[in-house]
Amino acid sequence: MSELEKKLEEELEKLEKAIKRELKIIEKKAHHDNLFPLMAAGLAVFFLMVSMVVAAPYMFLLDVPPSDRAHEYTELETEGRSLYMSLGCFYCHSQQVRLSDWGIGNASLEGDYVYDSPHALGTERTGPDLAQIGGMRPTVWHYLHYRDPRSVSPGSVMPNFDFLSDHEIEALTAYVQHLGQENLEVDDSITGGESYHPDVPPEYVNASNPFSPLMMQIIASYDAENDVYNVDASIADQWATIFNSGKEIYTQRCLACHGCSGNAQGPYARHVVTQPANLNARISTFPGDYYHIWRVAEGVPGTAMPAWGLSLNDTEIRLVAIYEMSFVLGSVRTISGDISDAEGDDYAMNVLNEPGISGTAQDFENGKAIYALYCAQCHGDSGQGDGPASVTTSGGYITPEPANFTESGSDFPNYGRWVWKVKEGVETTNMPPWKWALTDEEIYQVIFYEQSFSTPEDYNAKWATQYSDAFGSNLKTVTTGGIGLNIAATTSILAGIVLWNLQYRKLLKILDQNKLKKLWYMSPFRRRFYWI
Amino acid sequence: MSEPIVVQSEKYHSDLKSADSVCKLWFYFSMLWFPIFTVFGFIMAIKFFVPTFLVDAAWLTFGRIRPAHVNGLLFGFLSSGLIGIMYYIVPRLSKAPLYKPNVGKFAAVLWNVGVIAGVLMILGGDTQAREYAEMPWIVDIAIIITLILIGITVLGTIMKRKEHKLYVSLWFYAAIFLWFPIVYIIGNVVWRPPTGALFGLTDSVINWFYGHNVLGLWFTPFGFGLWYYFIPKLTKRALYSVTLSLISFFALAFFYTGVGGHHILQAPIPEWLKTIAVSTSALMMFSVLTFGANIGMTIRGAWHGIFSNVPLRFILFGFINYIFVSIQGTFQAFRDMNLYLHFSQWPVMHSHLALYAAFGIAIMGCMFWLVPRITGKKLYSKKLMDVTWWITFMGFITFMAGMMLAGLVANSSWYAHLTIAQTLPVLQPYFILRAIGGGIVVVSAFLFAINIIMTFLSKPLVHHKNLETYGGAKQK
Repeated sequence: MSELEKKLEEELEKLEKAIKRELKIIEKKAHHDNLFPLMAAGLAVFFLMVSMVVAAPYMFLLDVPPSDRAHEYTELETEGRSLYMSLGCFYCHSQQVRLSDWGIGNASLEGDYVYDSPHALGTERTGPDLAQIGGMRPTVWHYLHYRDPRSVSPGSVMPNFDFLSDHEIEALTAYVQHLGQENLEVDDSITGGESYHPDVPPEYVNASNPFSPLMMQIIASYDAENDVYNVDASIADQWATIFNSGKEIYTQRCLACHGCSGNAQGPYARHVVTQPANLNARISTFPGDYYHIWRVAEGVPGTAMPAWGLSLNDTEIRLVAIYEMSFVLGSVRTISGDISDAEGDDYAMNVLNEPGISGTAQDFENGKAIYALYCAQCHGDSGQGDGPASVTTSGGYITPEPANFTESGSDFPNYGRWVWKVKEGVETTNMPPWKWALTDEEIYQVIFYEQSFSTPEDYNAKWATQYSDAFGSNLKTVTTGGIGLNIAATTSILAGIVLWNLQYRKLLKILDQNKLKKLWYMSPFRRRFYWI
Repeated sequence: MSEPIVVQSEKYHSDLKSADSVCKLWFYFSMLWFPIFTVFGFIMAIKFFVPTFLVDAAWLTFGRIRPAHVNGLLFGFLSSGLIGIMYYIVPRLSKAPLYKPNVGKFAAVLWNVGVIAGVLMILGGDTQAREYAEMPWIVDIAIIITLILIGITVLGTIMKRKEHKLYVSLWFYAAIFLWFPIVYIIGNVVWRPPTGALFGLTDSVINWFYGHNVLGLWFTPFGFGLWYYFIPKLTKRALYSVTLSLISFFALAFFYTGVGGHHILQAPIPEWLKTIAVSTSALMMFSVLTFGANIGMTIRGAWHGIFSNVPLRFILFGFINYIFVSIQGTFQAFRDMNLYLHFSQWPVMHSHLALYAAFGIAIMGCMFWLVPRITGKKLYSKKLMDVTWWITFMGFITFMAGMMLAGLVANSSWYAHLTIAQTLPVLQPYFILRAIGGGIVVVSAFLFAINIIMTFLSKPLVHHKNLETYGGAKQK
């Protein structure tokens, strides 16, 4: 074999090997799919999107300043919040007010959530949204509600949290009561020392009260000399209808907090976290009817003031607003009291002229409690028409002067008229139609208490005979009552002495039987009472 | 690509046996969690109209039962079932033995111990209180480790495969274990152990990025892998188009990743983020419709299979529900629709339609078909399987109707400015309907579990040499 052949062979071998190698690579490339490019591309697009929906928002939301509604949680609130999260409250209660939501507060802002970790936005509203629930209900309401939700909210499907300790419930309430409460501290330099009024939403800026012109027309016709309004009877009637419709709604919806005289002393007022508005003071600072209408329709976030637009229509809201103006301007009395007197007499004649109660001490006590709760604001603690809201007291504003029960002889000649006035109210005055707030029995009880302010002669002549119970019929018979009491006291003292004596002998017998007689005779107790 | 060709060799079968034992282990857990945690759901359904039902202890309260139900079913039943099915499919499509089967077994145990520990901790009040991410930190870590371990076995098997072609199902199975650990780490904020949460709206954005991607990048790719494998196999039709499946893969990776924001579309998150969420939710249809069209074209001419083949019926029903729920989801994500439908029982119906009716029912079908094959035993009762189907179907209809009606009634009431308190009493009949439907679903879950357990417990058939040919429906 020549050198050349050898070399050729070697070259051939090399070539063959190279070809084989190449073929192998080609074969591999041709048939074996490569996982790598697919996965790399899959990951690349994945990361691209992650950077858009995770990294970018993260940087975007890095320096959101806290809003007025956000506040750092106290220790107790933090504890409450962790309970809220661990008990899974957020599965049923969202914490985001949407722009389209209505009557549950202002739309949530980015800054509302800066102290929340983890977030509690929620995705369901099996229960109401809680973003701005703070202050909307009394604290005690929350306590009761956690223990048994249906005791305060009958249709609720919330589970009972009776297994929580008192401290845990306190913490949870502390958290919920401060959710979304606005920081209402406003720099005086902005408002110039005036009351703070937030901006009214655009849809309310042009709202007006259609009943205002009528009211202004009647007020303009006031003849101070004769204390009458010089308007046609038809206009007077029209006004009375409007005023009474507003008053009826007020009695049903507003009185519980704002009180019948608008001075924020309603029975519910003491339970809510934020003091209800004193309508006399507050409405006088309102920039206009549109503001009043907005507040009634959409409520006040962070307080118990509900959004009445949910349950009242536009006309009703304006009616109640025009009624509330009477707490500022005084009631425009176009209908004289004679008319309601006549109606009352008619009622006495045809329907009822007897109390529906027998006049027991219990009735009296109930009546007293109701009187203190509702009536004393205007009629005064002593029934002289001189309550804190009455015009006869300085700072009072309720006109005309509320009824004085101490001189009720001529005002209430019969029982029916009294019931009628309490039940139906007095036209074009601030006396509310109490049938919307009190039961018949409560009305009888409170009238019973009010009658006690009248003079004894008057009482005994008109009312004493109407009560079957001795307490009612003898309420004002002081002298006979005194003798009766003396006799009763003397009798009971004598009876006590006799009883004690008998008891003492009996006791001695028992002690004797138990062979403790000796001990008993030695005791200072025995020596002391031996004379008996 | 048609069904994988069965190589009739001893080595091949012993290789598959090791994979099947891993598969079996996952199935044990899956079939147990299904009836147990649907009972939790049933308890919740009752609480909606008997609010004083089981309220005496913190762990029985609605807010504890709900995350236990959700996590138990998502990570217990669904994930275990889907991972088990994956362990069946991957070695067969790779024509290779499972890479490190013992790691797979260890992962099964660790995962399920993690899930049950997590659920118990949630019931005890140790929760991170972020929807779908409630599991405490320690459980998060266990799950991340498990994800990595499963990823190693799956990717290892695919890398060492003998089959040249890379079938569609394998793309998804490989990609899950690249995407989801990242999603899980970001979503659970594992770098902040005590709370597992960031602050404010950032936290909500990340929570819902994770929350939706549990569906988008975890269950959906598993489902795609399962349907891409089983439907061609059980209908004996070749896959219609690889190109369509390629579109569905990339559309999933890109668009599905971004949709999370539609859960908080009405919250004050940045507007541009909402726009991304809405548009990706719409573009997600690329993925779903190409997938749906691909499978639909594959089954054409073989629809009669749903009458004769009960497991196929389950799997196909799941597939149809998946397409429905995706279309529904896209429409729900549009701003106006979302405004109307949000916050009621409708979204709850939507999530049950996805997780139970699509993936849950598909898993039931797969297990009915697979368990006889991997154990070499006969299915305990075919009749019971048939009955289970009808009960499942009836339960499904009642259950969904109850929630859908409750949702629509509530939404329309709120739209008319009625308050929650005013609306609640009206919803009672629908809540009761939902509980009845839910009760039927629970019954079907128990029947399913009994059937599978009895199959596992029954004696193996004697004369078997080929793992692929014994059991339920006849194979060629």
